Amino acid sequence: VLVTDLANARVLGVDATGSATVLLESKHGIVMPVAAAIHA
Amino acid sequence: VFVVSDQRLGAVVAFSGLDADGAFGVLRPPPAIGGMHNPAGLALAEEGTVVVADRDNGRVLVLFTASLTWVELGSGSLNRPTGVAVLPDGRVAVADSRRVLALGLDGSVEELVAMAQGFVPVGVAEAGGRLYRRGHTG
Repeated sequence: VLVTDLANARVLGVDATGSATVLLESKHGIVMPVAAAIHA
Repeated sequence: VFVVSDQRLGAVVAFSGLDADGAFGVLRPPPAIGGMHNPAGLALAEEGTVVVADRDNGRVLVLFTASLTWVELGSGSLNRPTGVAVLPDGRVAVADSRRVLALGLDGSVEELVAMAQGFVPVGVAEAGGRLYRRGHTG
């Protein structure tokens, strides 16, 4: 799943084991990510 | 590919890949469509089509990424859209204020869930022909 982390201005990908990877963060220019979508 | 709406940027950020090495790009509508104002929920449909609730402009924007064409839906019909989902028939379901509407690319507007006291949907999701909405009552 994708998780938008407003407090830290980043988007995480979380796999079925609960492991999280930072996919987007402020260095990519995002400031206030409020929603994310992915095509299944 | 996944997409993120950023309220401060007033834009959608697209990211390719599902690891930290993917490429990203910022998507903004052209001047003829006008900028987004507090974009909220969004959906990614077939062939990379992006649908986003342009909340404070009271409209939904559709970006056909293959042609980089933007289409505006719901202007004049929506109040404060917050969540969107693409229905199996291609229409866009929208959580808007206290109701859920379906918008067609042909300009059609159908009320799927009527406005009701205490009903405040903020998100919708399509699931195999069923439409779910996230919200609260009370």
